[in-house]
Amino acid sequence: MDVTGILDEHKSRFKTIQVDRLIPAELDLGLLACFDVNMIDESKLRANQKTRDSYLRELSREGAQLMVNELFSLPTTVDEDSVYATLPKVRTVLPREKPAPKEKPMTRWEKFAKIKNIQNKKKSRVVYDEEQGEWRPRFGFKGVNNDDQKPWLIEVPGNADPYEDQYQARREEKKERIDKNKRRQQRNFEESVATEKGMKPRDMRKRELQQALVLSKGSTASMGKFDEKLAGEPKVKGLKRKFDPLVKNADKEKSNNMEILNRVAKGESKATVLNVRKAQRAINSAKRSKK
Amino acid sequence: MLLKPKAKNARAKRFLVNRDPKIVENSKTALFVRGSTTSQVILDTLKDLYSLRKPDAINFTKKNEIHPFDDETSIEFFARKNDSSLFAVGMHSKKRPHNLILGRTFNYSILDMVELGVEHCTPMQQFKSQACAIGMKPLMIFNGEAFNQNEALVRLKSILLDLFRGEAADKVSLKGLEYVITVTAGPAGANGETGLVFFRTYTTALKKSGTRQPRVELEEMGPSLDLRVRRV
Repeated sequence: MDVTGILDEHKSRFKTIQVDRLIPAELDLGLLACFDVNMIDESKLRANQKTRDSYLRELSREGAQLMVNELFSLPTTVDEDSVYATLPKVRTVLPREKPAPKEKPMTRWEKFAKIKNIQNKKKSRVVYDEEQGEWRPRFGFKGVNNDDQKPWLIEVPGNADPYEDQYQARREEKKERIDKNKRRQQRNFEESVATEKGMKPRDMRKRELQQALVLSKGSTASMGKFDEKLAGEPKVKGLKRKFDPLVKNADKEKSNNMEILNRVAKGESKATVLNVRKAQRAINSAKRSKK
Repeated sequence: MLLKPKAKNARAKRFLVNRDPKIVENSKTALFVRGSTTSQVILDTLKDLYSLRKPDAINFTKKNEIHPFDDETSIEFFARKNDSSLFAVGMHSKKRPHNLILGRTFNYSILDMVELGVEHCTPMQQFKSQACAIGMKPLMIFNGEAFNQNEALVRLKSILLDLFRGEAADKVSLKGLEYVITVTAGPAGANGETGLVFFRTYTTALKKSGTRQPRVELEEMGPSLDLRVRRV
């Protein structure tokens, strides 16, 4: 049986899918891209628009054919009624949008849980409530956790004051729990800031207190010389108030007064008055924050 | 925006967390802005590029005084406000007719940009073929060895790949390979000017070929641009 004749006939019915290229084109299937470095027929590109467009179309068709050939030979998964080809990883390097995130330091609970090997158990959002025969949320609006806040009867415990309002007591307990949680969150935040800077949180707090102390001393007219000192407060160096001598040089006194009068006459505007000290501090702090 | 905004409710918090730097990033949003003077050609180009880039694209319809090569702050401000890392600015002036600037940002400051002159543009409306669905990933073809050699073209290639990448996906539907974008580097001119870059878009039609792989037939759709690289 000579089948070759039938095969040839079958082949000739369809247009070929073969693409010949001198240099094989580089394909990055992860991006669905094809980089072809073959020589382009420059004369066709320089010609008029019609030949150019049809030449470009030929080139594109061949490039697309190459890619489609490769794509159809990738491993596939069938999902519903469409066939998906699993793409390989992207090979071309494209820049990120934002810098990679830094690792956050572990909180106190996370460290403890790691040591004791405590796993996080996922809890469901709703809980079945036997009394009401309904599914109620575990927390939040109409939540199960708030049931102890509004019962119709609260027994006075043995050791409590009989005139105390138990409802108020319950509300205050809840408030205290919330505040405790907030304080712990704040503490975690401060500790993470301190560890990121490389200091212990206690040292960080000490430094902040020092800065606040110096500021408060400088705010008083006598630079904090006569303030009540606490035990163990460190001595602050270099915080002095300068007084001009009682008998000044006449020229100097005249120039000082003229300066004041000129300022008043002209009116101080932001452009004319520059506080060099403040400007320098602003520049330094900007440099530090940029680092 | 040196101060980090604080979230006052859960929705705001989710919004900010979405914009935070992540290990696996969101797909990049592109911003299309008009310069102080524009021409019909450049407006058509911007409109077509925007429709190719949807849904990850934002189109500004008002004109802005923007000159990215002279002053980066306005672009960086837009990028920060809209959380977009790709931008395209279109303007027209006598000195630089039909100017298109494509660029990228990293951490809200400009990473690189390429200025292109649109010499010839055929918008999507003029082609009678059917438009393809929004959000499809295109097949991209870069023809010409100049894309590996010429520094400006290497950058342009990288930016175009970013711009037309679509969503990052590890699977693609074989029926969903709807369009092809071809970029060809033309020859340099006789007097040493840089060559044109031909940008063409086609819809694919997969025909039977008797074997497992289909034959691809193309029909021109989408913008057809002839670009000349000006500045980088």
